[in-house]
Amino acid sequence: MADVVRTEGLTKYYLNFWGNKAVILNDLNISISDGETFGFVGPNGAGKTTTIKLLLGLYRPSKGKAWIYDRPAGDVAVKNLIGYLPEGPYYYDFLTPEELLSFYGKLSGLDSAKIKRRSDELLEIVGLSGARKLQLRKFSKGMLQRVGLAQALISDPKLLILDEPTSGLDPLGRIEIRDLVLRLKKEGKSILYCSHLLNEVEMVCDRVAVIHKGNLLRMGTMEELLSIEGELEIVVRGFNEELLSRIKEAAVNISVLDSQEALVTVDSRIHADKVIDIIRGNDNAVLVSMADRRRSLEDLFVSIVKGGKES
Amino acid sequence: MKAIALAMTTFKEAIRKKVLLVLLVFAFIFIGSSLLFTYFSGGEEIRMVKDVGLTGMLVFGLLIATFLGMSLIPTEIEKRIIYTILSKPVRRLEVVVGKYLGAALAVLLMVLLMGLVFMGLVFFKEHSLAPVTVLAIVLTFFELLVVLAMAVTFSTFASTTLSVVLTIFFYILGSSSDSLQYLGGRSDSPLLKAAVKGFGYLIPNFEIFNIRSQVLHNEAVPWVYIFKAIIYGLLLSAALLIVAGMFFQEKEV
Ligand SMILES: Nc1ncnc2c1ncn2[C@@H]1O[C@H](COP(=O)(O)OP(=O)(O)OP(=O)(O)O)[C@@H](O)[C@H]1O
Ligand SMILES: [Mg+2]
Repeated sequence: MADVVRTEGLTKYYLNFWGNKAVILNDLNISISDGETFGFVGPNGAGKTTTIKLLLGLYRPSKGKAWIYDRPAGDVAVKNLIGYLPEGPYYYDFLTPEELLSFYGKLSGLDSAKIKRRSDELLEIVGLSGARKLQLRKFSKGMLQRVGLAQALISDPKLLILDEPTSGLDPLGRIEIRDLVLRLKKEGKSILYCSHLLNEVEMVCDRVAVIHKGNLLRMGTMEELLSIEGELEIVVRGFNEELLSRIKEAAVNISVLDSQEALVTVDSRIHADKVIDIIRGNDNAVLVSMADRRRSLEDLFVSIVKGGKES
Repeated sequence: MKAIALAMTTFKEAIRKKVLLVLLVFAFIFIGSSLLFTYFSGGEEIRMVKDVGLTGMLVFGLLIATFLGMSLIPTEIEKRIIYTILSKPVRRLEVVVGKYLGAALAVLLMVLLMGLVFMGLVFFKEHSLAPVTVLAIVLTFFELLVVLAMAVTFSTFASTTLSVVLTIFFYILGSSSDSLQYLGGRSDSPLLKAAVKGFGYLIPNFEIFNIRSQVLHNEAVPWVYIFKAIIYGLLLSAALLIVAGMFFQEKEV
């Protein structure tokens, strides 16, 4: 097993005063393989943070099991391989970023020389070099979020668990953090990425799971989830009315993008072939691109969460 | 090393608490108030200064230790700092011990400051400082270490209010354990005798740390006694911390 994270029937419920079960997470089976960026999305209260806490051993499962690098969740031995950014975190506010990183570095068992080197590096990366001597209580939300990221990266972990890493950040800060995540991904890190910003998840993640009320509703690669079965989109340049009317016979939909280009949607490869033949037969028209038609993650999210449980 | 890092931040955090400063100021006022008892005769007055001073150190020390101990772990959970701490390779017992050591350091600082004022006062009145007076302060510190450990332990399974109540309850019980044993020993029922005796082993005996009457009468206390009392305090604190670690291990944070 080369899985970085694996859960089997992971379940969490609370018993209320009357002995009724409040199920927070129901029979979750997921796995994240090495180097993968795994998106975890779902409405508020879906059970994302609960899952993360189970993975870190902060919560105990009611049923089922979870492994990280083939060790039971919560095992101290693998914690150096994990970097965790909690949602809405808080740190000792009387410390400066340098002191805070030194604290977490020591907890990670690093020596002072290594801590010094890493924290200089990380403060640079997260853009806090200028504030290294400033007490955290003077920090803005976005700055705290950056310190949090630096803290998560201190031991150069192989797995990053990021719970809403861009919440509270301004648009530019969000792009910076997203770029940082992409860079970490390129370095080969495995990432569990929780977010409500679906376009971000779409840009960053290889695979995504949608959970709702503790149930896993969908899981798959971006390609699998977002491409619409059989439908293709063709962009054609240099069209005229006559050409469009001929294409229309094979197409499901045509929308004019600008005076030059039009987007043609077809529902099968055969129809796509026909459209391409028509374009090739016309001296003025050029085929610009052809691709599977995709929907946005947002569209998918809305349709499956509103539609309730799906396979 | 990890426990030390935790201890250092905990210490820094503790001495920033305003409540501590307030308690310290009140302790100074309390200890210093014995200067007002000038209408007593010479020897009587010195005894008064010592009695009030030791009582002040103990009472305010108890408040400080209880306050620090009960909030040590719960605030960490409440402020969600514990998530990032436990996401690092530290064992939960290490967290308990590290945080305890930091708080113990803060208690030491408080005892030192109160002790300095107290000893200054005694020296001012008596023009000398008997070793037993210093030893009484040392024993008070080790007594407070046990109280601190007790508060930490209770806070790992009880609410803040309940932890305080339990800590004070067990302190009072443990401070009267000798009288309790005496009463039990006089009982006719062997069952009650045994029960009281068994109970005595479960409750920390805080009277061991009390050498107040020797201080008041400037009597020497054997070193062996002091040494034994210190060991007793340390062992008791360690045992309590292990229990705290076990409760904390089971806790969902
Ligand atoms: N101790 C508890 N007892 C009962 N219910 C709880 C307890 N802790 C959490 N919950 C419930 O668990 C549910 C899942 O919470 P969780 O924090 O995992 O959601 P989430 O997916 O992270 O949501 P968000 O997007 O808002 O962060 C919530 O409805 C919450 O009320
Ligand atoms: Mg959450």
